[in-house]
Amino acid sequence: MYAVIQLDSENHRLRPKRVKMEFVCKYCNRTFNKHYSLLIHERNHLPTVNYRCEMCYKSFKRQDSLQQHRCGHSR
Amino acid sequence: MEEQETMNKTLPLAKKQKINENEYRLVDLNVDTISLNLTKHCLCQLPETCMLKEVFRVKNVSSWTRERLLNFLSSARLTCDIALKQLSEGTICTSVERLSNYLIANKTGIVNEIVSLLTRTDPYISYAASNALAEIFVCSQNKLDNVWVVELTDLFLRRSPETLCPVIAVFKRVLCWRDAQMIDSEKNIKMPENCVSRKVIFEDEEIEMDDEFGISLVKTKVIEVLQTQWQMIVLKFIRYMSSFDHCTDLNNSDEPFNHKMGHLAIVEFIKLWTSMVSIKTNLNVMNIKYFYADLGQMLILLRRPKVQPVVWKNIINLFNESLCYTTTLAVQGTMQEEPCMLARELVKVVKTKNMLNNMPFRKGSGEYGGGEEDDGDKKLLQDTVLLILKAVATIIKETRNESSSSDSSADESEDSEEVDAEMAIIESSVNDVLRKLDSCVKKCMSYLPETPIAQWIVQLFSDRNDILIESMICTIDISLVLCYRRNSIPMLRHVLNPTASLVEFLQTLSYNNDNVNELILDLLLGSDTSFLLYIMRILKFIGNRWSEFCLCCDTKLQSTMTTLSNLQTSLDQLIKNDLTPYNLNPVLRLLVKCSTLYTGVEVINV
Repeated sequence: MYAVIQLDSENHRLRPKRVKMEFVCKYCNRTFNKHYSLLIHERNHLPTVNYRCEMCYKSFKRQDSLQQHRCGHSR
Repeated sequence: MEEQETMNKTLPLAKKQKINENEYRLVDLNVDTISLNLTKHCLCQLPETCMLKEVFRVKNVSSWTRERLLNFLSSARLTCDIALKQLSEGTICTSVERLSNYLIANKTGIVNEIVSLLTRTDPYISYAASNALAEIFVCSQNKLDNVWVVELTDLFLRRSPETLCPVIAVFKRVLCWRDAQMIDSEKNIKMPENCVSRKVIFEDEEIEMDDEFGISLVKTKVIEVLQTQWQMIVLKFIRYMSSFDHCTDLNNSDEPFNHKMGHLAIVEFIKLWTSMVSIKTNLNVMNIKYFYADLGQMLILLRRPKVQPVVWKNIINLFNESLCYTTTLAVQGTMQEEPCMLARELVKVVKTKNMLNNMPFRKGSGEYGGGEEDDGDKKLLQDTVLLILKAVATIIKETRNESSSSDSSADESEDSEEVDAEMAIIESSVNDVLRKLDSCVKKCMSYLPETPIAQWIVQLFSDRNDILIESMICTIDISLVLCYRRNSIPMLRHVLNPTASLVEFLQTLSYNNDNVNELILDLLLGSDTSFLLYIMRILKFIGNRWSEFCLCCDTKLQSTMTTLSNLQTSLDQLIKNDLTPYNLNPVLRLLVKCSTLYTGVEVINV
């Protein structure tokens, strides 16, 4: 990830312009110009995460569902 | 025969050595003992007669009996498998580690021999050799010998396609390897208490997580060797596929077995290509660039009327993976040239070469595969429709990117006129393609003639969440660029309306479920669909075109906004309790914006 600062071509001084950033995917080196775009892209490289109950090995797609399920065990 | 002899000459094990019965007995004993002890995940307690160093130090295995050979290959595979699992767990039995190192060291050229076993006519041996070799490659990590990969690639290029399935399988297993498959397949491995084990130390914590234990190194080495021969390999398969044009019935051909094996090899070859360009394989974009070059040749096949349905389907899958629209192109500032070129070619083929008419939706000949006596291949239709939508969205995004980069030039008015003219041409072309697509889908499925694309995509894809969401993103992106420009075709705005898709989608979700909010949260927090991108796009659309959204929702406005409001409440709670796997604040902000707009409407109504 690196930043490029644009120079004013006439006055050769820094312009108060938005800094152009480039965000690089750590899995495939594809580049994106927004951090959130990189996040959206990188999620495709990840395997599907399942949250598993350590007592009965039932797995859930969400952490809050697992928390809710755990309450059932403690009753 | 000649080929086999040349192969033997290239192998270091050309020297034929005969071993006596006693030595065979020792080999069998070693292999049996190792296999038995590997099931306990520890080799520390081996009997004195079993020497670890000797187990894989054998020669001329190709002359062994089938049973002995199968035992040997499966124990080689098991050794690497256990070593990899223990490495990923962070603790490895030192004896298992030593044994796997002896195998990889290849002192007697055993790995080269296993490569040569891949082309054996006995399917059991070639299958076992293929599995063992893939595990050896992955296990060898930075010690992977380029010679093995070169030998394997040579087989790919030189042998006849009918014999290539085991070779292709090795490439596929190695390139698609993910640590997750090991973690998911087995729960924690328990080693015996008296095992002499060591902790695996990673120099850099980040490498442990990202580098998949050096597997990416193996993948890169394999892909680098393969890319030098890829063009020739593609050419070989295209020629071979052409020979199938006149042989539609595999059972009635002169050489049924050879044809079936050849047919299988074609399918496996396309699947391998699909894995190589797939984002899920985690390969460096620079390494896979080369594999995009020959995709156009596969496109020519789709213009032929007699391509086997399964081949057609796999080519469509290959193109769908290559056009990584929702995963990459849709969020990229500067798009890669290769997928854009493929998208342009695809749209051209649909528009001018009637590609859709050749689609073997039903069994038989003629348009979409003939009459209406069966239900047709819905998956094939879904994949083809998604591909065309992705191709159109890619072309439009590419044109918009070019125009926005040229906006900064001095002569803006002239440029914008030029861009507008270019967009008008694209719009007319897209309109043409979408009309053909609409007519094709309505002939294949029984949808009402007035159902717009935005609505039927939800009905068509309702059984496959991932591609349903991809297709909805495509229609949003197409409509945002094409339908809201000066002099746009009014019909397109109705046909591609994103609000119509959203309303239909929420209605479909609510059919069998009381709690739609739970389903939406599952989609949003899981990584198996592009729902995060969809929700961002649709919420931005709603926020920017609120009055149009309200008008289109009509009677469904209240239920749609209630769903969004419930999602907002749940996300707020999850974020506060730190239960989200990634930053969801941007989604929450957009939901708040929509909610504020709706509150305004409610106040006016009161």
